[in-house]
Amino acid sequence: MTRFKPLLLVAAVVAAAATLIRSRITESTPVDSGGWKPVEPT
Amino acid sequence: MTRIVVAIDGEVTTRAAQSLSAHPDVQVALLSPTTSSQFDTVDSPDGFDAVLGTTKAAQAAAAAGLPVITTGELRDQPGVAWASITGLALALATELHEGTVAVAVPGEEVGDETVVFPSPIDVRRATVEPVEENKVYIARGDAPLAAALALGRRLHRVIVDDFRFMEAVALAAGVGILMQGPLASPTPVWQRPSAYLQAAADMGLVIGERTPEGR
Repeated sequence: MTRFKPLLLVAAVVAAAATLIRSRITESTPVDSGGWKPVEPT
Repeated sequence: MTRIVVAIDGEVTTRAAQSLSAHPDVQVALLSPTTSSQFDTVDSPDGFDAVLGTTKAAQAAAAAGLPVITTGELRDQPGVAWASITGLALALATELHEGTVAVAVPGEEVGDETVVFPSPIDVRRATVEPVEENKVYIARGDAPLAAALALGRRLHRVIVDDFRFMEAVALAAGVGILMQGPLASPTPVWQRPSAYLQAAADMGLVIGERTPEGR
């Protein structure tokens, strides 16, 4: 088990980095804020 | 009764004929050699008020001395020009005086600009293209939906719908401008926005509106 410890540590760091990058990408993607209402043409 | 002959040239004109036929004050026929079980077919546009369609329609209208209702630009030919999704966006923008005009249509997504459309289209890359004296952001993507968007400083307006349906209604709604009176020169749809947008709404498109502060 001891020899797998470095691999497990690397895997954990990579997974954490991937989660962080994914959340940063999601936060920075602009989205429409809604609030649209149907209207009759004027 | 306004009499329109449609020069069938692909799906948009076929669907436009269907949208037109639902209008209670419009009589529709198809220009031969197209045959149809639903519409009458005529060999000539003579006796009709206008020809509707794309390139074939413009040629047939010019030969018959009639106005044309078409999707693109008209030069020295009377009729309704830009009866298209781009024209819809510019018509929406007419009363906003300044701001961003954009359309979302199917295609390969390219461009250095970014436009945010209502969900589910969302953010897309776009290219800026001139449309007569206007500047329009064209945003392509792989969704089957289309959008016509006008973002003014005090008001935002949008139409979102199925692409095929929207482009057909955008073309057919040009009849609303024709019904206002004779056309002696090329008339882009944004020069008669009320008549055009009312016809588009009557044919099933819905205009959404919001204030920037209402976000």
